[in-house]
Amino acid sequence: MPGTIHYIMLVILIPLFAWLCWREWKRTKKKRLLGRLLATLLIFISFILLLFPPQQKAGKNGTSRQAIIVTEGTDKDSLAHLLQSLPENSKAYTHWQYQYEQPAAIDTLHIIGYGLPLEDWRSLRTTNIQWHEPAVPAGIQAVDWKRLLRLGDVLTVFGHYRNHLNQPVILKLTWEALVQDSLLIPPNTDTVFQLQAGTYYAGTNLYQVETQTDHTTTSIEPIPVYVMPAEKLRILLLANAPGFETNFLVNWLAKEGYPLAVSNQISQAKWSKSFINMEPIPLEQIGVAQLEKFDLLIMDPLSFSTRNAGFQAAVKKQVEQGALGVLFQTDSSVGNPSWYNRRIRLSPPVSKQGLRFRTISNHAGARPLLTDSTGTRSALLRAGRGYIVFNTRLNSFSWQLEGKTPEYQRFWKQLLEAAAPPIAVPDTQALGYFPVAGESTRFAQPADSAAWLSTAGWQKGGWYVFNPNDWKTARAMQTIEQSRDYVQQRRGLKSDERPTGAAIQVTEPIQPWLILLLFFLPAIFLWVEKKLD
Amino acid sequence: MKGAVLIQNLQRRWQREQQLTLLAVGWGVGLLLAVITKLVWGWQDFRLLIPVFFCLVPAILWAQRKKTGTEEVTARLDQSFPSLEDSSSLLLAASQPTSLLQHLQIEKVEQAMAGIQPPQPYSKNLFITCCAAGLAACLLATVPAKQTALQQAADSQVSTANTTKPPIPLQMAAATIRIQPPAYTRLPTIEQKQFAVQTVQGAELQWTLQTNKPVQKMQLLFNDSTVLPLRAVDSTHTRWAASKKIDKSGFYRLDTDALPSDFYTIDVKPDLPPVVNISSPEGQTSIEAGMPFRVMIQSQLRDDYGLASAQLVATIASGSGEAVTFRNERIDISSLVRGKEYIQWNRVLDLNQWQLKGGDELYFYLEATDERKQTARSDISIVHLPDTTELLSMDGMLTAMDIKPEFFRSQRQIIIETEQLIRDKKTLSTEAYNAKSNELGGEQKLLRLRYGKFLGEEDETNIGGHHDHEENEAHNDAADFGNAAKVLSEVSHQHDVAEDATFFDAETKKQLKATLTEMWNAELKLRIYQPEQALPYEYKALRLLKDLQQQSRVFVGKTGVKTTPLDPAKRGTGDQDKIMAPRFSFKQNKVTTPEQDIARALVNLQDIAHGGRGDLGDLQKAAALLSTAAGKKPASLLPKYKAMLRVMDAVGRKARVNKEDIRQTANGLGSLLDPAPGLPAPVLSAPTTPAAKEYLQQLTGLSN
Repeated sequence: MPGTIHYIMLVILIPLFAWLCWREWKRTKKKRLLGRLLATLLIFISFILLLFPPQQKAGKNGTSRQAIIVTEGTDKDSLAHLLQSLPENSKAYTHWQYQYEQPAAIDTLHIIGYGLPLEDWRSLRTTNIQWHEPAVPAGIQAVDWKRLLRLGDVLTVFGHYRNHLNQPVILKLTWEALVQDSLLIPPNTDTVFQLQAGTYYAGTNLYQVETQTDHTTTSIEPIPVYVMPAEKLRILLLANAPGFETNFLVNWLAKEGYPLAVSNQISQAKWSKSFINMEPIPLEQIGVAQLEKFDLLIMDPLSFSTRNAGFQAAVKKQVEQGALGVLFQTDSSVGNPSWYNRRIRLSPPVSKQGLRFRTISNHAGARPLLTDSTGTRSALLRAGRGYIVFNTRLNSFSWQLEGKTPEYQRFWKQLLEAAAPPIAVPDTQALGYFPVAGESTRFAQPADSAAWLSTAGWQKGGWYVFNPNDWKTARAMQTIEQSRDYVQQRRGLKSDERPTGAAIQVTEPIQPWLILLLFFLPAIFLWVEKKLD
Repeated sequence: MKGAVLIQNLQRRWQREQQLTLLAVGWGVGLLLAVITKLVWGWQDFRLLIPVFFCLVPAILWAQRKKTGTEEVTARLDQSFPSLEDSSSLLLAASQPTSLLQHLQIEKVEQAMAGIQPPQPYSKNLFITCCAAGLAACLLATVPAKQTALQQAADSQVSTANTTKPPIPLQMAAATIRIQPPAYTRLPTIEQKQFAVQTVQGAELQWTLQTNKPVQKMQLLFNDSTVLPLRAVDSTHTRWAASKKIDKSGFYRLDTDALPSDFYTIDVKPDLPPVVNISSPEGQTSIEAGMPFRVMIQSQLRDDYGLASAQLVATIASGSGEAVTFRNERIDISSLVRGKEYIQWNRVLDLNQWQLKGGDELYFYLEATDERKQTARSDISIVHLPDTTELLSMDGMLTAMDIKPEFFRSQRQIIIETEQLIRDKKTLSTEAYNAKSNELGGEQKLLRLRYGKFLGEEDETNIGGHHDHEENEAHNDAADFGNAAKVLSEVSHQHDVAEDATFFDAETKKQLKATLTEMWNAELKLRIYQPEQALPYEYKALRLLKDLQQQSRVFVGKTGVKTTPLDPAKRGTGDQDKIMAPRFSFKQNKVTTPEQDIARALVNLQDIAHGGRGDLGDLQKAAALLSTAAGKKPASLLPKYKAMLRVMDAVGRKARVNKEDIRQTANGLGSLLDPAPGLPAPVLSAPTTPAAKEYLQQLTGLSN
């Protein structure tokens, strides 16, 4: 494709040509003037042709031969039918055979089956290519799930199923042959499905999706998931007065094994310090060194604003680096406007069922995290690379008293996870989702790398290589989609037009030596002519 | 020349045949040794020995081989064919210069050689040895390997997964298990040959076993670690017997002098306690004044094997305040329920038999027992008898607000007059009676209307509705032309909108409406000259009014009380030197939970499945947990436990582990786990690329 540079060169060439012609004209000896001008013109034309080479039909012109590339998903009958319809000398190859043998003078290339990956399509050098699209296979057309989860997360497998039978199909998600979730797909339907399962232990887990028709299992496909062990957040709690909320939270976190440091102000200059599941550290002067031992800081914003500048600076640094998260518990004030409470304002006190509380009103710049019928109760702010959460719901302990421990757990899970700095995990995801043993697979990291995978199963680094028999239908659909995309690109059609069996013309630029010949001959003529003169 | 060539060819051929014969002999011997190993030791890996035999034995024989030389060839030829005239060796010397005689002889011998058929002394041997080696190979392939007892047990248990008939353990000539369920279940006694037992709770099992040879000791080992020794029935020590009463599910195995047997399940169907349910009366009921003192009880009792006894237990509470007294009464209905699996018991309970009076409360429930002495009881039902004297008293009302007592007195008055009327029924004439009743009805109506005023209904001053539209007609505007609301208001009466009444809140209005309903009903009964039937309604109305009045007197503690804020300047100004700042340090003990043990075992199994070693210690801990669970659910988990034992055995012997066993074990262990709870943990995110870091730095001016 001609780029900007080509046009710049063209702009330079035209005055150059004009100047050369003028020089020739201006020569005192007018002998062979026409020849000289013609030679200059030919040289100029050769430069233009070098910049914008003309295209010729790819492949050799000669006897019109046709060949067939047989790809996966080819139906024997269709292949036989196609072979019959083509001339006698047509041969069928696999893609590898074709690449290896490079048969000469192929005029039209027929591709039968699901097609080829995009790179392989682009490498075909034939004048005409025709793809005979097969019938779309039935089964799981597309599927996806999160390959990396934390212990305690829920695995969600979702995809698209085409049921072409007159019977319903049951999809089951199993773990160690124990059914976790199942779904009935009605006959003759095309539906989106979603199955869920819990995570049981950390490490490599192999779930399976079973397809059952009429009480017989027709396919079992693997769902490999790497479950990371649950990390316990290290929390520093600074309270300016003892309270039920703090007490209940500390008791619950301690029971679940979280490392906690709690400093409770019990009097004018007296603090009660507790160190749970961690070594005691001095909390009188809290600086960066102390804050590095924690992932999360929970305190009141008003008392934060009255702390010394050293502490505030240390917290600001850690939060902006993304090493610390802050959870501000407040029901009265957010402190003076500063870096940690930009544009967060609390509403006037609301009275409901005998309780007085406040909600977060103006949260431009902050994302509402938890809302209820009264308004926004928690909001999330970004500060540099870290997060700050404001929470005005200070009576969650009443859920514990009512025995609603799951609700209490969910509430605190949302708040603490929103504020805590995330863990970075490397992206070892293979592009195209299905790294298969015996095939070359491309990866996202390092960029555009590819690897040839020999053994199936779990690999070092916690990712999984599938057998060639796994997820056949889904992979076939991917190939079909790539083939359709290529055909559409070549035809220059709009995105919603999808031709089938389209013939494509492949062109290539003409040989450069022709153009160079066109340059050299006039140049030699001019040089010789000059010498003769 | 041709002769020499022939002799050399023969020599080569015979040499080859001899060598091949040696090889065949060697292989044959090797194969035979392998057959013996397979039969005697049953070594799974005997196959490793074959290359040893194949290489070693032929190598030894090869080293001992003899080479056939040309001399032997010529000697044999001379021996076999007199026409050669003992001169075949001359042919070999044909290339060297010879005398004329030798030449002549050579020609003659060559001519003779052309016509002979050379002997093949070694072909037969080769053929025989090859056949023998082939036979040995066939023998090796077909002869069965000797199996260990565990493998045998493993093979035998494969069938138990699908069928209900597990095989009889080894060395057992005959075995009989007699299952005798408890008598009250009325189930028949079963005799079976299979060791896996399915029965009911409390059944008696009797084992009678006969071995094919005398055994010193025999005992049954159960999963709860109990051991039941069998006693020899006769002196030959071939017949053994034992009995045991079975109360819970589990599994057991037979232990004899020889290797222990396979596991057998005991599946016990538990005897559930009876289920008792009182469908009527529900929960709390009260008998109104004027209603008879009777309670209709409807109940259902059921048990899986029949009830033994049942009774109705009642407690009566009399008196009020500090003078409350309790007494218990019972009605025994065992004779009705004995032996029945389901009975519906209905009874009209006459409360007069227990001398109940107004103000008393009756609490009762049904209790049933089954043959296994398991009792169950229904929920407690409460019947409350009203205290009319208390209802009619004026306590607590004299200090009430002015607007209410007037109505109460009226309602009280109506009740008193109705009761008087009922008492005077005999003395009055019918007309007088009816007239008085009607008059009382009228008074009830007035009372109702007065009360209904609060709900916006019609009141006594404007019976039939209030039409007060005069002032409204003057406000007709040209602008209101087409105003739908105005048009509607012209033609409709905007009365009877209870929602407009704003004196009371929703609760009170609901109770007022209920009171009015009762008053309506009382008035109805009075108007049709049935004051006895009106009395309960009047009492109920009075009770509701009283409740209403006293409701506003209930004091409820207010939550979220805001006290006066403390003065921070005065806080904490006392002498705090002697107060110690508390310090608290706590470390949770790193104790592994059963879930963690199971998780570790599952990780080990994955490792083993991919050819790793596995950790036997971890597997043993998980095996103990699986064993306990299998004891409770033997039908489903016992095969998985057995699979786990096989896996552990293979790991211990460093042998290859069966993939199906690993799958079964993982399935069994997985069924013991629950999904992990979602505790707060850092979220996973993609790593920040250097470009993003740079962008943020530039944007916020942060230092790195």
